Amino acid sequence: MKRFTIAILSLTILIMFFVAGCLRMTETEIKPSDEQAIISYEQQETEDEAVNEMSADISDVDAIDDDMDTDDLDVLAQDLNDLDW
Amino acid sequence: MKKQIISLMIVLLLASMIPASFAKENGQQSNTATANVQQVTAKRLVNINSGQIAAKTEEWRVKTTQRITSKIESAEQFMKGLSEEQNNIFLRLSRAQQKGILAMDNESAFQAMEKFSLKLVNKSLMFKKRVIAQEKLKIAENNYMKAKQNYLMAMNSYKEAKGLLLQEKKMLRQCTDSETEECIQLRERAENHSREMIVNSANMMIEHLNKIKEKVNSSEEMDEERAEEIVSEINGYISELENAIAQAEAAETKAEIKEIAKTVSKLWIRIRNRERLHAASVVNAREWGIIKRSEHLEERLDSTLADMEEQGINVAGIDEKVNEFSEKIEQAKSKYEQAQDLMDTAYLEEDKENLKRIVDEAKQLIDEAHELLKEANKLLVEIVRDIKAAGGEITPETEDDEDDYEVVEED
Repeated sequence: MKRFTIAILSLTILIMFFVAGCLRMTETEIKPSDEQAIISYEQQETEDEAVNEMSADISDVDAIDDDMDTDDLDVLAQDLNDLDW
Repeated sequence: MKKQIISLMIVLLLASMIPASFAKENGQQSNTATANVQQVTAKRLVNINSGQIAAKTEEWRVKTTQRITSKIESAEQFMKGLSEEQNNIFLRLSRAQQKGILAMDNESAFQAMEKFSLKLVNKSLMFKKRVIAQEKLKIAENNYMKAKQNYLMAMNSYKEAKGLLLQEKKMLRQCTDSETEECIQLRERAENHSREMIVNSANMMIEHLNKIKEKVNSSEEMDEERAEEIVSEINGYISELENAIAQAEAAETKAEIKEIAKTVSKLWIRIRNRERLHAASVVNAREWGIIKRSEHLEERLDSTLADMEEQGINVAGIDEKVNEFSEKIEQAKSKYEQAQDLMDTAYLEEDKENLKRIVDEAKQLIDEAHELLKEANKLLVEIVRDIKAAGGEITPETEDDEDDYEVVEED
C-alpha cells in the first residue's frame, strides 16, 4: 500500500512538472527575446523593397545635390574676367 | 485510505490545470473584447455614412478613416454631407490630408473636397511622369559617370594651369620692358597657361551641364515637356562653350586671349542661374518620386495596422507614429509644391537678379522638403521595427500590372 501511494505521488509530481513545463515553453514561443526582435527588424529593413527604395532614393538625392551644387564653378567667371599676366 | 489518496491525486492534478485554463480564458476574453470594439467602430461608420461606402473600397481604408473621424466631433456631420464619389475620394486621402480637411469649417472642407478627383492609373506609372527605356537609362547613367570624371579632370587641369600662371605672373614682374630670351619664354608660357585656363574652365562648364543633362535624360519623375526644354537649352549652351574653346585655341595674341576669357566669363554668368534652376528641377523631380512612394507606403502601413487589429494586436503606439509619418510627408509635399511653383515662374524670368533670388528660394524649400523626408524615413524604419516586434507583417506590394485609383488635386 505504501509503495503504491509513493508511486502515485511521484507520478502526480511528474505530471505537474510536465504541465508547468509545457506552459512555460508556450510562453517562450509567443514572446521573442529582444535579440530576436532586433534580428527580425534588420531582416525587415532589407526584406521590403519599397522601404529600402525610400532610403536609397533619399541618399541618391543627397549625392545628386552634392554633385550639382559645386562651389568650384562660382570662381570661374571672376577668374576669367581678371585673367592677365 | 486507498480511495482517499487517489481522490487527493486527482484533485491535485485538476488544481495544476487551473492556471492554464485561466490563461486560455483570458485570451478568449481579450479577443472577444477586440471583436466588440471592432463591431462598435463598424456600427459607428455605418452611422456616419449610411450606405455610402463603395463596395470596392478596401476595408482598411474605412478602418483608418474611422480612427481619425472617431476623434473629431464635427467629422460625423461632414461625412454625412459627402456624396458617394467624394466619400471614395476622402477614404483615399492620406491621414494628414483627412485631418487637414476635418480641421476646416464645413464650408471650407467641402470646397477643399471639390479640388480632388479620382484617376485610374496603372501601378507601374504611379511613381513616374514618363517611361524611359532601360537601354536609354543605362546610356544616360554611363554618360553621367563619364561627365563626372571629365569634370574632375578638367578641374584639376584648370587648377594646375592657374597655379602655374600665378608663378609666371610673379616672375614676369622682373621682365618689365625686358626682351631677354627668358622673359620671352615666360610670356609664351603665361599665354599657354591662360589659354589652358580658358579651355579647361569651359570644359568644366560643359561637363557640369552634361551631368545635369544626363540626370534629366534618366529622370522618369520629370515630365517629357520640361525634360526636352532643359536638354535643348543645355545643348545650346554647350555649343556656345565649344565655340569659345575653338576661339581660345586659335587665339594668338595676349589681347585675343584676354578677350575670349571675358567672353567665356560673361557666358557663364548668363548660364549659371539657369543651370542652377535646371539642377534644382532634377532634384525636385526626385523629391516628387519619394513623396509618391511614401504616400503609397502609408497606404500599406494602414492596411497592415488594420490586419493587426483584426488579429487582436494593440496598434495604438504604431498608429501614432504612422500619423507622424503622414504629417511629415504632407509637409514635405507642401514644400515640394511651393518649390515647383517658384521654379515654374523662374523658367519665365528674364531678369538675372530675380532669377537668382527665385532659384535660391526654391532651393531652400527643396532642402527643407528633403529634411522632412529624411525624418519621415527615420520614422518609417521605426514603424517597420515596431510592426515586426508586435507580430505583424507589412502588407505585401501589389502586382505592377494592377490598376488603382489615385487622388488627383487640381492646382
